[in-house]
Amino acid sequence: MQLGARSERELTPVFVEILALSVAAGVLGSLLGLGGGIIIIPALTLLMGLPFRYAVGASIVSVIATSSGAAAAYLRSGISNLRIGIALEVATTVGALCGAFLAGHVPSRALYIIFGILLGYSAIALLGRLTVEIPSDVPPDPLADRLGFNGEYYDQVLDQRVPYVATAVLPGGAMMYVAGLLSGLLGIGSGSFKVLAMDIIMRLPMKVSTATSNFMIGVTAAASAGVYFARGDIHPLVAAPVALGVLVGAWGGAHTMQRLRNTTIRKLFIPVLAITAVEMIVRGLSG
Amino acid sequence: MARPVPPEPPLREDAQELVGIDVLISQVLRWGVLASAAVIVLGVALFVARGGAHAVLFAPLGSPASWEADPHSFGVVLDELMSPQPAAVTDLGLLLLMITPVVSVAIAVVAFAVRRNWLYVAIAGFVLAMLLLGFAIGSA
Repeated sequence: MQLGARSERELTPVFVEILALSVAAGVLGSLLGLGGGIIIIPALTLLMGLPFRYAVGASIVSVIATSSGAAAAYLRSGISNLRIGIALEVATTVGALCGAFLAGHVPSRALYIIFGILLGYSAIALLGRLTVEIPSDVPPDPLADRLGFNGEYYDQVLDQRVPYVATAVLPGGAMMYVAGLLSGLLGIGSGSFKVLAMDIIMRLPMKVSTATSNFMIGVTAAASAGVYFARGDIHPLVAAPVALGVLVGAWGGAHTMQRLRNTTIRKLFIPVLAITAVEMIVRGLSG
Repeated sequence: MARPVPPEPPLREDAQELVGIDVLISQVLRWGVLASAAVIVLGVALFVARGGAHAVLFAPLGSPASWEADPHSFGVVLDELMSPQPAAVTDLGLLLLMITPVVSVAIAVVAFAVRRNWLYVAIAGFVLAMLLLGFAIGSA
């Protein structure tokens, strides 16, 4: 009850603290196409001392709430590409199911380290595209044509309609499978990998990548949510403030994102990935 | 930005198709989110009614080590709902949230079928099957 009781080893989460944290996770997640797991998991485990499994359960809820809350806005305004999202979900949902099966058999310290290294890699990979507002000279891909991976969105900042087309569908799909695998293993939407697959490999505009990722992460997470729920990892008093806070944050973030530049979103994305990568690797190494 | 805006070509037929489905899926997600949020709020309100606002909202939730293992099947949640247990109501809201993306994919299958886009009926149908498999495994 009293603050004094919250000594080093007995840190436990408080409802309103989780709620506030989750609003921030929802804003950031909806802006960047992430599920908020990169905030929720470290905050719940490192700051509040929650066991990893409950943090992962909360993270799954956060991912779905961010996704559904943000994608409702992004689909309406035509920034999410539904076809690209659904087609790539073929790879991610298969990966997510494989990951959920493996989850109990991989130690959590190793999970932290893998998670950290992968995020660090993401951050470095994105540095190369820091100044690209709209991709140009995208090489044609017959498979993208066949699947109808094209579209256009109205960019509020540029004040113009931006047509786009995807390339390298198969390599992008392979990375989506890995993204799904991570989602099932770690309870994260692995939105970072989805955004990277679409931004760097498939060369879609950054906003289309984050908004489409936002739609996808909820579907991916739903594939393994049932497993986590049945296992009891989703604790109602942890998950409830996460769901409510994230929904509010995602609503706000989704209405802000459209007024930002593609390059601004990328600049926000890189440090978020880098900081979390370091955090998680340290956590994994120190046990 | 200085580039002249090209004359806008009419939307391709497939682009028009997608706009309609986009708005439909957007609505599904929005109503799913609103319904689940409402039920979760009700669940939290029941927790507060039982335990008091201070204990539930502003005090530590207790040492996680002391939490009972709370594995549940979907059937157990239904049973508990008969006499409104705060945890069961909250779980129901969380379940509604969790099935929202699944429902959106299911509606997408139907919407693509109505437009006779069989390629995407197959693609979305496969994704839906994977999701249902996930839930089936979860409740098994």
